[in-house]
Amino acid sequence: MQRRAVAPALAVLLTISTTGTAALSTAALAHPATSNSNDGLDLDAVLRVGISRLNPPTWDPHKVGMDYTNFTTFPVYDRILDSDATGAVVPGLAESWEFDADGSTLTLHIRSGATFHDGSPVDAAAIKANLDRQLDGGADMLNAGQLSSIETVELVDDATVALHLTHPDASVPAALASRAGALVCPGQFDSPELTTEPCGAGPFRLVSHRDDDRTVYERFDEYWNREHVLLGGLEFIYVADETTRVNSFQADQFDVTFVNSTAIDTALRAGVAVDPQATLTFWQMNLNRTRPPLDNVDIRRAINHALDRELLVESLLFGQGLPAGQLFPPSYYAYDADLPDPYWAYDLDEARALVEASGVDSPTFTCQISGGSGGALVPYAEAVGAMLADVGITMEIETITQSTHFTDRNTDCEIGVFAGAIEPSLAFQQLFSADGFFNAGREASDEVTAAFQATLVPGDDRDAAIGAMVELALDQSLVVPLFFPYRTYLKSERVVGLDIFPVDTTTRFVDVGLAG
Amino acid sequence: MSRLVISRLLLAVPVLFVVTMATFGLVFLVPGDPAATLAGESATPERIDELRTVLGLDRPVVEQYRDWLGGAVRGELGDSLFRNRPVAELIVERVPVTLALTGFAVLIAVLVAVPAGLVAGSRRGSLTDRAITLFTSLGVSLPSYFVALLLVIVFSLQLGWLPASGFRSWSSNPIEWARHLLLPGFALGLAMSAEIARQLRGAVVDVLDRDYVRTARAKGIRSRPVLLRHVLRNASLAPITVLGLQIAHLLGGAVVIEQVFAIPGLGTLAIDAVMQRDIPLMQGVVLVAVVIVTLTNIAVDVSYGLINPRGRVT
Repeated sequence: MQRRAVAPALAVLLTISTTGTAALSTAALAHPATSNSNDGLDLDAVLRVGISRLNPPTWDPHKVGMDYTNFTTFPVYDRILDSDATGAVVPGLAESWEFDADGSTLTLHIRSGATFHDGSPVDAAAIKANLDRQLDGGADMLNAGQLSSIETVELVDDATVALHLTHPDASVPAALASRAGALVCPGQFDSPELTTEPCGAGPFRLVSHRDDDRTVYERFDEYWNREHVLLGGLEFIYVADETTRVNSFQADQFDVTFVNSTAIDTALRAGVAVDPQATLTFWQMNLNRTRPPLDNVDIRRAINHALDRELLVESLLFGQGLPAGQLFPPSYYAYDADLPDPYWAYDLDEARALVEASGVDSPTFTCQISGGSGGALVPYAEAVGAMLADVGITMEIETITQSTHFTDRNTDCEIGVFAGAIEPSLAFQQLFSADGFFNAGREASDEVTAAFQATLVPGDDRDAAIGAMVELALDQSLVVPLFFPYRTYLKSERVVGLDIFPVDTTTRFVDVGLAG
Repeated sequence: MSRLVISRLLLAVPVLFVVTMATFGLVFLVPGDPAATLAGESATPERIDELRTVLGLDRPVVEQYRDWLGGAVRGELGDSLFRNRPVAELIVERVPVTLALTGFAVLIAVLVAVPAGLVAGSRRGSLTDRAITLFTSLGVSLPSYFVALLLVIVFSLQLGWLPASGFRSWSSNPIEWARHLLLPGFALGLAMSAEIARQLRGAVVDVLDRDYVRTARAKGIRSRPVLLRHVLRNASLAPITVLGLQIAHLLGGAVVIEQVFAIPGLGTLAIDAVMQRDIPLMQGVVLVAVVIVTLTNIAVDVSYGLINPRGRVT
């Protein structure tokens, strides 16, 4: 044990984390990754990982709706497709896929030689069975909504499945790379043991799980991508509190863990090496665009110009975040480098001019903040309120136990966190479409609806359609993102293969190893 | 004695009823919807409604409580909404962990408090007495999480002697079990030891002035036997009362300490249940906590009788 100076240690003590547990969601070192040199690796080593949340309500991935469970279930369950660290969809158990000309059929080509943990083959029939299970299932199939555009699943041959869609939907491959595409051993569908004894086709098998304590996995030697599994097993150790995770890492209880922005500062002051990176998660002011004065586009634009996002990050996040200049961070594959970043310059004169041009006299609105976050949101809300006051906009703050902004939809605004969606069209649907959960007013202009639907059409024009939707959202100020909080791995020098923190925050433990 | 135990157990029934009803009511006063959390980030309102029906959350609150109470009377605490497992099974898993933690805390508290209280009381006004009084004042004042972090910095990060977090079961490795409980047990037990030491010191000072102590000394009995046989026994009633009261505080403190040390006990379970509004689990944890506190109080009452013969008559 290396002795450390008292000063940084006291810094750990004094910076008691007030953040809640990290919301874990997905993402990715792609399976067919670049080959690592295995020289010097202990291929039977067990990687000890400190994580913030375990406890999937069930180990059946089709019956879980929460993204954080991906971290614990994905080692066991490979998906039909996968996504890489930038969020782009890559091959999984299907080695290739293509849409037909009009985008109404998606054909999947299944790789040969893959098997489930129970020894049964991963073939086209298994894929059809898994998709049909969700499409025909009841209310407990919690990811079926992501597959709602699939009308029928056709078994073309042993290695080919055709998905016939009700309408062109380019987001289906991303759905197949998430829990909805997780493959469960078909023979176990109706087994009550599936709740506690997962059976998939992933690189690891579950050995034991104890709620809020630890989860242990062993390598699955018949895994289709076996040569890229560089560990003998995994041990996930549950430590909810971020400061405790930093301390435990320093006490050599983990080989790797990860922390959020406020704990990054704690780790830095304790002398731990960090590599902070933005993910798809951002903090935002979510505006109900049907309620005055926020129904006025000039007021919304004025809000965006009045916010000094850099100051927010520097003063309240210890600099551990990326001021949000666009809807997506630059590390995401759908980030549009051709658009200005920041799209809204911090410009008080421009903001005041927009308030003047809006014709709204003394614009005033109320913003909810949820006290459920332990009061962590209060200083952000107060800082935003002060910045808006500078340009003549009054924002009143209402602190309540749990926000009702998206459920009752009778409030002007909420300051909170948008966890992000791995697929741009899904993010657009949630934020901007008329039935989107995070569209508090549940309204969408014809222009927005058309732009959103254009992003669903697969093909060469899709990237341009995504760019157009982002630009429209920014231009109309449909969204007021504040910043992307950083996350980082804390890892020992022995760990290899965890160089990029994935944008969806779920680590895949393929091509990850421990030096001997 | 048995009459005392039975009457106390009967008194616990209305307490349980009131506490579980109040908890149930409080849960429903808080906005939020476990079905929406369970359904996930991209769920449609229809899906959330379906789930609410499946879970029975759309029924009237009174009906839900009545069903829960009916099950609890039969020993069935239902299933956790978020863990897909019986509440009773989850609690049975966690109770030994929390009992081990609080047991360690009590042990440490008693081992520290009894010598400290005796020495301080028997050397009233001395430098030792003042030092112990300062320690007890600090112990009562310092929040347990602060003590916990201080201990981690010194014993885990600086010296590397003890783990900074986690738990090991007794059956897997008794030595590791003890190593993992030492720091959290001390952090949790410090305030208790300070409180007991203060009470014991006061009682010792009082008892030392009694006639029977003077008589014992006049008979030529040496100081240590007088302290241990006569003074300690007579001075221990007040500290034991405090010990009993502190058990309830310990259970509350364990919630914080389990979080700081990532110990999978009843406290961690309670926090998760509250954060997720896992109503059956929350009710189960409250029920168990009330039972533990009630049983502790009964044990304290019984111990009065054992220590003080006069107490056995009543």
